[in-house]
Amino acid sequence: MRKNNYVQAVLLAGRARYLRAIGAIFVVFFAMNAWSQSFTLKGKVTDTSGQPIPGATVQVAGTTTGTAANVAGEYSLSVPANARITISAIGYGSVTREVSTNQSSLDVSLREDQMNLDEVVVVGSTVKTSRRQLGNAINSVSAESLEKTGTNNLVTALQGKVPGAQITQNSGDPAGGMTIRLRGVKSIAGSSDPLYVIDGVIVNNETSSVSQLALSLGSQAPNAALGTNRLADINPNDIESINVINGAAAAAQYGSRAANGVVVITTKRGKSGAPKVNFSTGFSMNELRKGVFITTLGKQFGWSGLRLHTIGGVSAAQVAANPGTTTVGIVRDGATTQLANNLVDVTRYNYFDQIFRTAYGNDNNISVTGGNDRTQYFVGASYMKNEGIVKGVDFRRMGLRLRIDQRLADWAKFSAGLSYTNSFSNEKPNGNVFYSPINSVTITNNIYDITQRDAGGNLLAVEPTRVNPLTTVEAMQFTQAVNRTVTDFQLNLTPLKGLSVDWIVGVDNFSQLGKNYIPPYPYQASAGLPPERYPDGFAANANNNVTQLNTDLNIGYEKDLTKDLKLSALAGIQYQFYQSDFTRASGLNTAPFIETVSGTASTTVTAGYGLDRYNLSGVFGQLTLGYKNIAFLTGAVRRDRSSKFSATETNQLYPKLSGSLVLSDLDFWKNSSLNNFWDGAKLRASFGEAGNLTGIGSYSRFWQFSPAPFLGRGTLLPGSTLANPRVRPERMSELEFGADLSFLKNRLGVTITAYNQQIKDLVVNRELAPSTGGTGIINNVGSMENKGIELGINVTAVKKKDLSVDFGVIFNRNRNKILDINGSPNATVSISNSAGAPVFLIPGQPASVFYGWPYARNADGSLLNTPQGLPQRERGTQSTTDVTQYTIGRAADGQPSGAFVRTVIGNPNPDWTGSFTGNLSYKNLGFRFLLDAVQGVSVFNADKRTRNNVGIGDLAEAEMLGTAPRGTVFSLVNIEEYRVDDGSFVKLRELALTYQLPKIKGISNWNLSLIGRNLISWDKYNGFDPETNAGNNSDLLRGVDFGNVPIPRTYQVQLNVSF
Amino acid sequence: MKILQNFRNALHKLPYRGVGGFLALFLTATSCQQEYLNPSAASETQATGDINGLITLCNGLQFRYTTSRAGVIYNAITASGLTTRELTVLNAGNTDEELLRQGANNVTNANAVLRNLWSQSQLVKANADLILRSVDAVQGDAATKASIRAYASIFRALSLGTMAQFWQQIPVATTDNAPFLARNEVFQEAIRTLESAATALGSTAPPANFTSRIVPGISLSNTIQALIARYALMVGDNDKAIAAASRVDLAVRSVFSFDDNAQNPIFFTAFSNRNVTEPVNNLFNLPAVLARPEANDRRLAFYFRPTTSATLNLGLGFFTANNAAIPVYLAGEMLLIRAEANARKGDLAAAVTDLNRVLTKTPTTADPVGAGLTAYTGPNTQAAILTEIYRQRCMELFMSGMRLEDTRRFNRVGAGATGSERNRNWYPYPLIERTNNTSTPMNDPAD
Repeated sequence: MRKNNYVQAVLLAGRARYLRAIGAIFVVFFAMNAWSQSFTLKGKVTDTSGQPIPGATVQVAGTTTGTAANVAGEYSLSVPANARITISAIGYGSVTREVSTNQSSLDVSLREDQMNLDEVVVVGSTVKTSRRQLGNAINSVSAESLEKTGTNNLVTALQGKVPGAQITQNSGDPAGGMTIRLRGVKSIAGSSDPLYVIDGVIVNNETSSVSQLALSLGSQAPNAALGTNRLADINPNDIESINVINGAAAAAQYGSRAANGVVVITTKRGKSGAPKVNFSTGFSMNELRKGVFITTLGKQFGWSGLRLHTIGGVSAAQVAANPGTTTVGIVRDGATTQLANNLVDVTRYNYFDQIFRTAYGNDNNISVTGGNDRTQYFVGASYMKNEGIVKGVDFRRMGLRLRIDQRLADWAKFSAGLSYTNSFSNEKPNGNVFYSPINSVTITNNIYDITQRDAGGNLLAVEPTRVNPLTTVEAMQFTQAVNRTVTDFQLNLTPLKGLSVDWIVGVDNFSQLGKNYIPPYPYQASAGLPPERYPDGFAANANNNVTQLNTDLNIGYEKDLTKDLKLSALAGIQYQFYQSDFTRASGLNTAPFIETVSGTASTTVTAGYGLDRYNLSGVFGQLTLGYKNIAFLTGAVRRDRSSKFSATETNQLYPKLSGSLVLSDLDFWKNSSLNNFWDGAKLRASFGEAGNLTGIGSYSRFWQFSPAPFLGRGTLLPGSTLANPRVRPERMSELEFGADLSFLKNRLGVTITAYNQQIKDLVVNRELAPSTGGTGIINNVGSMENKGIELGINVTAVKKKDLSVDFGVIFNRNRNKILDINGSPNATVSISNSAGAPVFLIPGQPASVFYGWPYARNADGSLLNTPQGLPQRERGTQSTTDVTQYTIGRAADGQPSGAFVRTVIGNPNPDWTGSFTGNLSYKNLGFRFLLDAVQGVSVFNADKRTRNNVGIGDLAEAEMLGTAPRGTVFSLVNIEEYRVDDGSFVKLRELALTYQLPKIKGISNWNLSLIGRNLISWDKYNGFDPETNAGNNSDLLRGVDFGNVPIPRTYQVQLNVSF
Repeated sequence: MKILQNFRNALHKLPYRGVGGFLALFLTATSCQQEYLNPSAASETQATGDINGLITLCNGLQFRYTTSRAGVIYNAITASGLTTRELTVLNAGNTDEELLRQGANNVTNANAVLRNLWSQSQLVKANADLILRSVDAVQGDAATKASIRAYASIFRALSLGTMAQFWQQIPVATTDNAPFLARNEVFQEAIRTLESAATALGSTAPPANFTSRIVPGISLSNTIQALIARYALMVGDNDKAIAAASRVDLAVRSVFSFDDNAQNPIFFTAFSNRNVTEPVNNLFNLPAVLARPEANDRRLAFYFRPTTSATLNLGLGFFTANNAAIPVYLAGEMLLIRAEANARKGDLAAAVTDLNRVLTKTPTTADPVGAGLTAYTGPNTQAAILTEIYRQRCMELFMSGMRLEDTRRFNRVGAGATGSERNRNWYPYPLIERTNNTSTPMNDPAD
């Protein structure tokens, strides 16, 4: 059955049944509604010092009936007779009280609780649990910490705020990519991106580029994931809270999609009460934080027309043709090359001055919330536009959001949400190619005035075969328009005491429309650009339509078995469907005035259509036993099948087991003097399995015979990758231990977690001997591990009426290791890339290490130079048992001998990451900073060598000045270790100063903020910024700097007003 | 058990029909295990079970063999050209080409040009095997089947024969740990494949059903004979070479066709710019021991741009446009095969006759390579005539990818020696084969 309108088919077929079913439920449920008699309860919620707690939740226990306290801590709630009322708030221990009909008021004082043990957190879908019961780490980020961050990208705003997460901004473009990796890399064939769930809807964060087709169609950036990852469509302002589940056990509910962790996002909801309007507007400025060194010394070796003047060998004929040229013979790897050593006068320019600009942006949000105790609504609208620091680059996003919560009965409510986003980006070619803004500068000798034009206003050629950098920002047009809706409908029923039935259906649907246009270069005749730079023009249009659907039914039951023993049971069914329709057409040799594929030469037009579809269904059951609300034991199992799996593999089972123990709630602890110093302690442990299916294609189980455009005749190519006979998900099992501790009357909170992830059945694109008829086969043959610790510390230093000071520290350490790729310790996989970075997967090493030619060194570690005093490659004998080892070879004269050897010369996986946050508020002033650190990490700086080879870099200048020996740059060409830089950094990620404006009538709250983002970076990096990645959102090609746009420094002024 | 009882009681109190309806819906949704297929790809069964599917696979053979920088044509011409110094590298950033230009130990088993040459040849061979295995079983007319067999045989022979010009041993069977055969056996296997195709084809012209679906350019019967002649010469079977070459109708062109989307790979990658490779000089870079080309040799203008340019590549030949066709063989090659085979047999008169045809022919549309020179006037000795035949091959068959084989067959000075005309004698077995095939010969050739 080949149908691509599957979603529609299911919905249509199901519609009649849905209607009947829903109708039946409503009739029965409304009939039962007469069952209770209610009254109104009022009261005030305060902390131990008597201060009100705005936003505290007041809820009828065991139901979804509830409300939130207002700014004064006051609430009013309609409750049934003889109900139990639970009052809770984030940062406080919850309290449960019995009320009877004759009681009309209930004031409660809550005790502060750093550990938030009674906070109810969403762990996925509609499933919630209290922290007390969790046997694993779950990290929450509140709306407050996503505000005043200086960015309007949700993922960017999370940087430095999630233990266990490494969040990297891969590009400084406003629509550039962001990656989150929780506890390291999980797959060597697929993505390590977590699963994102917004209000129960699984949302797409793929990177499918429709606007970088010049690169992707020409395979000019292999293994890179170019473009925007689609969480860019989410407005951080819409978020109420984010729960990040790092581990497999906690995420086991998501089965085959849980191994990368789950990010559970809850958006803002309406609150009962008078309509409240929140408005914010911000104005921002972006600038280049730090440039790179470009020489403007007015000299050049040889003659002005000598390309690559630092490294280009000069022939006798060239010496004769250019009088005054002298040469010196430089010996490299045993061969002598004549390099020019005379200097001539040239004029040099810093082309970056023509590429970068100071850019501006604005960000505006308005929302209205309100409702009564039966109906609550939230309506929001947003508009933001942010310019990039590269000329001509920007990103605009408009959003509309609506959520309605409607109580149908005391035991039934529904919630429906609709979110629409329209975004548009103006882009330029991503790094990676020499027609991108940064790379065109890096690869071009800067002795041409790029601003010169002919009489017709056309730019002129620069160095032969190179693109004038101004062409990239002035003429190339790559745009992407996205329309996206995320909708959900949720029904929550509590028909009986202890029983809950939750049903959710969610659809994430978006379309991406890409336009790509490179006009013919007016100076092609004199520049002679090669075909990969599209000398006669390029145009492509593409459309990607993605639909994701998930529907979950969860049934929960809670029962006190005895006075001390409580049982919670949960059973659920899930169905998920994914479809992507990708259509594109592209052509060359564009006609004047026409910027689309319609204007390209008909003989060059090609088109393609791709349909990617899969479904996944699962059932799961979970039992939790709680003893005295102190000790909990949870066991669960999930069973999955998916259309991606081979027929023999459709029964994937994922078990989990976890336990928690709140030691500090034991009587002995409460009564001991220890409690005065150490007042909270929870221990937790979990074991779980989870799967990852990002590494397997929807059609990996077949040998694909693909069509090729060839002389107008039907052509099929048998795939060079053979079929995987047993496609199944990659499987992770994880053991996690941890503790949540609080000291000094909750002034100091510590959470610590240690984990061990063992991943097996890793999907490997295993190399085959071509004599088998294929060059590769995708098999589940690898294994890998991640081990690490996560530490979080929160300190409330001062908490007084007018002054509060608190600090937070996060420390993460992860050790990734590939255990097996193909059964052989020497089976390495090269991750090819346009930067020429030697990125490898090697058993026994972390994923994606840089494996290449090191410097020859003396025993003391100093460089062993050639007799001419120049650095050189190491030689010796490579070990046959461990590809990373070698024996050094030395000739009688002490010089290296033997073959060139390779070893691990860098690691893009950091030793540790961490952050340090501080908040200070004094009367009307608020101050916040966030320092974010990534330490012990390597960056492969491809641009550094290019700049020097071209003759515009720091060593090139040193050679011209004579401060470095002639031939230095030439000697370094093949030494890959030279290009590996220390990428460790500490960044002043966020700085915010907020002033609470004086109260005036009609405005309940307003404040003005000055915000800075990425203001300072402490690093020793030779390029723009060590936080970068030419692989963009790729999890395998990391830490490579090749024409990447640097992350700007941002200043922002923001006004927030609530009416 | 009390728990279960309670749970059951609770369930009984539920609004049963509604929840039941939900459950039913979910179960239908979750149990709907649809088989999703890729509408933009065909399966092996589909493609090999249908006569027209096999023709599309024949086109696929040619696509893989001829197009792109990864294809056999680009890599065979580039490797042979760099190793025998027909070509040089313009930008050392083309690392694998540059290492081939440097030769000797710089040519390692990790070289991507060699890996592509090997891998794509092996894949073309394996895909051809697939077609040859399937063609008998499909429904269809005998003439179409014979044409399919001929087409697949040509590409099987081309890939085997091409590999045998660069490596000493080659796996011929398509299987795990396929055994390596000596190159002479591989040439013989290629010749057997071609001969059996020639028998099947007989004298019937390819039917319209075939010609309307196959990419245009290749003359089946002539190409089969031309390739038999080529490989028979390389394996030293002079009689077979002469007989086969004589059966080729020299008036018929047989070419690999290209267009703007499936571009001439040498033009697209190299000769459309000055960033990858170009001819070392505009004189075929003949070794010093051979006489330089005559100034009035009309082949100079065919193969080289008359004036040098900063932006235009020196090379022309069959690589002047995206849609320029590359000949499968040249008329001159057939004449030189006959000349060489006769010379080796000692029939010098016959050798000189064919040599003179090469020297004196003038360019035509069907055969644009024409020296337009006068007849051979050198010594009438076997050695002198063979040397002139080699010299003519270097020019007539410039950038045909055969010069490395020629330098060895004519016993020219080998790699490493003074005055060497090649920087490698043989290539190392690519790492991708060595790592994954236990039958790979233990040692790579030293040079």
